[in-house]
Amino acid sequence: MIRAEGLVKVYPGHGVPHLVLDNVNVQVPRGRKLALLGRNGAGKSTLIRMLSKIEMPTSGTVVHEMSVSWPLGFGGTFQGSLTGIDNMKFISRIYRADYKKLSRFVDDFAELGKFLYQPVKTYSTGMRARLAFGLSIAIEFDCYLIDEVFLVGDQRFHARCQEHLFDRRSDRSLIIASHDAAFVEATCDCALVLSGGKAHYFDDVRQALAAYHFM
Amino acid sequence: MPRFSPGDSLPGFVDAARVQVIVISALMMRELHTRYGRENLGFVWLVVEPMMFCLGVMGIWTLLHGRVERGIPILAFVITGYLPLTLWRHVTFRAIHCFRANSPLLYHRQVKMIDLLIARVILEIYGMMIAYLVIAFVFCVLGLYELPKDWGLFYAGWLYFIVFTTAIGLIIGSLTEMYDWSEKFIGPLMYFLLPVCGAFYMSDWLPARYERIALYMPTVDAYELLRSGQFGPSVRTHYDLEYLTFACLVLLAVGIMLCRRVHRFLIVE
Repeated sequence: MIRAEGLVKVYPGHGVPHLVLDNVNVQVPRGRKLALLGRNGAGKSTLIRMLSKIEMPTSGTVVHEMSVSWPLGFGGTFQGSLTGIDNMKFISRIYRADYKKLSRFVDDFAELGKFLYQPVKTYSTGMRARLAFGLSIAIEFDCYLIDEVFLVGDQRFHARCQEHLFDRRSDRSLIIASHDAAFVEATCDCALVLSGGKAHYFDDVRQALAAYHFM
Repeated sequence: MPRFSPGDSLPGFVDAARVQVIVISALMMRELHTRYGRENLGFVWLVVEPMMFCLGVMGIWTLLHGRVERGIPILAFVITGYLPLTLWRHVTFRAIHCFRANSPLLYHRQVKMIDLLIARVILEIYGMMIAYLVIAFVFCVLGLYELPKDWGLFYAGWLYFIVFTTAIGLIIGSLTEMYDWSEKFIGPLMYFLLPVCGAFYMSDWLPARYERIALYMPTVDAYELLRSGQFGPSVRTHYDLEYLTFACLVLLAVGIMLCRRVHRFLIVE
C-alpha cells in the first residue's frame, strides 16, 4: 500500500508561486494499477515524484508500506558521464542487489551489448529507458512508478515490458502517467484525473478517459 | 534477488545508519570514477594533487626562511599548515553546487543530499592522510622531518579540522544551492581568510591583544592544537578547546539544518 494524504505542492517560481497539487489523496494497494491522466503540466510528474519520496511535498504525507521503485521517466536515475556498467554497479550497491544476477538480467532485457561500456550521456532516450526498466525489474519492487516513458520505446521494448512486467509480475502495483489511451485501458484498472491541482479518482478507466477527453 | 525497500521497511536507527554507510561508500566509488576516470594515474591523483602543492610550498619556504625559524623547523611547520588548508580549500570548492551536479542520483530516495557531501569530504580526508603519510615517511627517512611528539594532540587537531571542514562544506553546499550569487563570494572570502586562518603563523608570534582575537577563528585553535602535538612543549601554543568544540558543533548544526532546509525546496530535475 502507498498512502498519500493531503498532498500540497507549491513551486516558488519567480515571484509567482505555482500551486501544482492542491490537497491530493491517493491510496494504491498492492497489485492495483493506477493510471495518472491529465494535460501537460497538470502535475502528473510532480505527483509521481512526491509518491516516490524523492521530493518533499509542501504539506501532506506519503507512507510506503511496500517497496516502491524510483520514478522511471525521462530524467534522473543515471550519472551521464559514467558508463552503463558503472551506473549498474552503483545502483546494485545502493539497492543491495547481487551485481552478477542483476547484470545478467539487464544484459538480456535491455540488449545494450557493447553500449554498456559507453557513457550513459551518449545513449538515446529509448536506450536509457531500456536500461532503467531492466534495472528496476531486476531489483524486484512491489510498486513501479512509470512516467510517460513508454512512448519512447520501440516495439521490442514494449513486448519485453509486457512479458516481464505486466505478465510475469502481474501481482505488482503500477502507477503510470500516460497519454496513450489504448495502453492505459489495456493496462490499468483505475485512474486519477488531474486538473487544476485537484485529483479525481475513477474506478473505471473508460470513464476516466472519457472525463479526461472531455476536459 | 533480495527484496529490499530502502524507505520504510527498514526500521530503526541501526538499519538507517547501515543504508547510509552503503550509500556513502557507493558514492565514493562513483566519485572516484567520475573525477579521475580510469586513465593514467586514476585516483592516485587524489593523493598527488595535495602532495604537489605541499612539496612546492615546502621548497619555497625553505628557500626563503631556511630550515629553522623562531625555533621551529620550517618543514614541519609547512606540512602541518598546508595539508589541513588544502583539505579545507578542496572541500569548500567541491561543495559549491554539489547537490545540483549530482541531482540525477537523488532519484534514488536512499541517497540523501548530506551523503553526497560526506562522500566527497571522506575522499578528501583519505587523500590528505595518505599524502601526509608519504611526505612524512620520505622526509623522515631523509632526516628532515621529526614525527609528532604527542600523537593525541596531533590527531585531535586533525579531528577538529575535519569537523570544521565538514560543517563549512555543508553550509556552502546548501547556500550555493539556495542563492546562486553566494558562490561569487567564496573565492574572495577564501583568499582573505588565507593569511588569517593560522596556516602561516603561530598565535604566540602575535602581540597579546591580537593573539586573543586570532583564537576566535576556529582554524587558528585547531592549528595550534595540531602543532602542539607536532612540536611538543618546546614550542609555545595557545588554544581554547571549549571554544573550538563549541564553534565546530554550532557550525555543524547550522550546516545540517541548512541541508535539511534545501531538501525541502529541492526540485529534482
